[in-house]
Amino acid sequence: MKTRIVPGLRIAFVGHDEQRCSLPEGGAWAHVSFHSLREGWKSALAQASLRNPDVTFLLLDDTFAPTGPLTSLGVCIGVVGRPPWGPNGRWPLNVWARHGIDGWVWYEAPPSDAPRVDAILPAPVNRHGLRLPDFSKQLVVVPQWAAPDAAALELMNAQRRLSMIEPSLPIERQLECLEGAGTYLTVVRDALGRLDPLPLQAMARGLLVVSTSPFPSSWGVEPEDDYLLRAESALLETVNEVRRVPETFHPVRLRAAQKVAEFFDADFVYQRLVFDLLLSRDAGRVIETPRREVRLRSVR
Amino acid sequence: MRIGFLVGDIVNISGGSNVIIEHAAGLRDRGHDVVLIPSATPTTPPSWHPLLEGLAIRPLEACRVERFDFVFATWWVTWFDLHLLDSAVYGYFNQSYESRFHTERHHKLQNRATYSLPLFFITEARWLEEFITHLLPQARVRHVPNGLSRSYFPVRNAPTPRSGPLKVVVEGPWGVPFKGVRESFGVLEAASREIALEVSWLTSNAGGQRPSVGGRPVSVYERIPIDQVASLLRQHDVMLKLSTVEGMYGPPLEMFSQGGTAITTPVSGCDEYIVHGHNALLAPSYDELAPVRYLTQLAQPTELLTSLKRNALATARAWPDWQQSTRHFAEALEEAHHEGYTNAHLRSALAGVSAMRTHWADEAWREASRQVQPPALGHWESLVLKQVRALKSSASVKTLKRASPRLLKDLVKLAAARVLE
Repeated sequence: MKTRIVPGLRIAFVGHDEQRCSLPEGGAWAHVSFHSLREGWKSALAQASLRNPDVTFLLLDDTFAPTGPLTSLGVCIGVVGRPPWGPNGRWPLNVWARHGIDGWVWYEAPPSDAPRVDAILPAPVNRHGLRLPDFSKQLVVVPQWAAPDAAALELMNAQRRLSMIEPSLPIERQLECLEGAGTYLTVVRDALGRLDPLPLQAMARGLLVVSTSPFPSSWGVEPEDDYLLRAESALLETVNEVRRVPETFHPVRLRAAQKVAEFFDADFVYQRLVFDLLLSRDAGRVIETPRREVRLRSVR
Repeated sequence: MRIGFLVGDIVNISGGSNVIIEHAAGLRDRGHDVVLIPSATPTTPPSWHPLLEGLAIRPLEACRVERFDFVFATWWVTWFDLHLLDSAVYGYFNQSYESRFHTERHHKLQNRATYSLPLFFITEARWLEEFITHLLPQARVRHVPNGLSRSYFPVRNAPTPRSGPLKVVVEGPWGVPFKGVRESFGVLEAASREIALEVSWLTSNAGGQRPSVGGRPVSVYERIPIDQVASLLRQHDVMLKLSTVEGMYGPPLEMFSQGGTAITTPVSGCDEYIVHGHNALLAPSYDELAPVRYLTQLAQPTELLTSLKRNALATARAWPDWQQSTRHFAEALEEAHHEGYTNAHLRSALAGVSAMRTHWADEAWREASRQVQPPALGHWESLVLKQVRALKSSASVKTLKRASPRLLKDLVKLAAARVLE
């Protein structure tokens, strides 16, 4: 294998607008383009192919139905970012593979009959523009789809102003809600963040995440150090404690933001993935990777 | 200047202690009066590090009558002893966010308290510098990267070309879960189904374990003196280190210096010198397939291993040695000293926080542990208790109790209690 420096790798993403917050910014390591599915797959794929990408990531959904071979997309990777089931049953991944999807990335360990998997990745975080946590922000935000019961909410609201994030809000507005807050409270039964990007997005913004379920164990996000894990019955007490002595929780908020920078930064995640993909496909190149910068203050 | 380092365990091999010893020896060599102050006085003089021999080690009690220019807490628990010493400057040589070493909430809360006062912080990692600076804007914080010892890890001229099976060295103690040693052997076992491997384990404490990979026993190198580590690393192609908690770890860099590369995690501090695909490979814990895939790829006859080794060696070559590192450490202290910087006024606050920990918190935990731990009974005690209960619930005793007046029953109970007590 020859070593070749690729100065301007072209990476294309095809997906829904709300997925952009989990995609890389590019810059030193790649030219990144995003092609929205607002007008459907056919149009988005055509736009992507015009960029002549080295690698294309297809953020798959129920509507994906290739009619012909996927050409001019470089190494084409299907991203299974959620359970691969739709109204018509299980996604026909093996059929899609025959149309030219070269590899697969899953959000969790796939079933044994899935086509060859290249990597397992949670939805990472585009940290472009994020700064160090602002400890003066104290507002508690609660996603409506993962809120405590009405009685608990009423009690909390009586003691401290809560803000609800409504599911109908576009993702940019949901992220704006996070920007103005200090605590993100969520009641979930499933592993935290598995199918919901907001907990990691909240951590990246230096919010104190308080959850009734832990993150998946393989994610390496530690309760008490990176976020708080509490029983539903203890949420009110926790919210009060945070209000009474917020300084005690500043280290958790700060470590949360650092953890996301270390582990879940979209540029790091995809840069690493692209390197591995090209390497494993023996494309004749080892990409010269720039030094990564994970410090929060340098992200502007 | 008189400089004291409050240290935890210096008897056993650890990377954290190595850093303190290197700085202490370097400061002494620059003409400063340096003393290591262990929490518990070692019964035998520690000898695992050659530099220990020339360092002054005195117990805390003996140092309480001295006047220091600087005293540094190192291991977080030693922070609570700072107030016991008389110093112009109270410092914290902070090598990690050590809350993460513990699972118990009370330890984590205590550890957070060690970031409550604007001490003079020196830290080896940029992420810690950022952490402390943002938490404590009034604190004086200096970043002093660790050195790479050219005495113990002289950087080689060229990596050894690979021959035979891929030679992998695992590094870390067994009994510390966040060092990922157990996981490393799991990865190697999975990889051994696809590729030929020769595996060694360099460890400060094997915990009595003798692992095997692919049915072959792993060569275990336990408690190797630091001056013998390089020759061991040199025999390997790659270090596998899957830690989940680090401050700024040294072993991969030491591996680089001996012509090897590493597969490791994107753990805090790795960004100080590791670049994925350039000098090492980073396998995040969520990508469970990655470590085995990387081992398999490194085992192939491709440019990848050679390229990583070559760049790793260049990384080690460019890295400062301990003389340079300690010079930065000393300059930070000398600058503060010449400025007349002092934070001696924090001593009473240190004493207050420490007293809270010592008295109130300890008492609270003792009480909590009393409540959760049932009295331990041995087998024979359990049998006696069972027989007593059976006797009490027997028909004859119940009849007797019913027939006896209450006063008599109370008197019998009182007499029995006196006898038993």
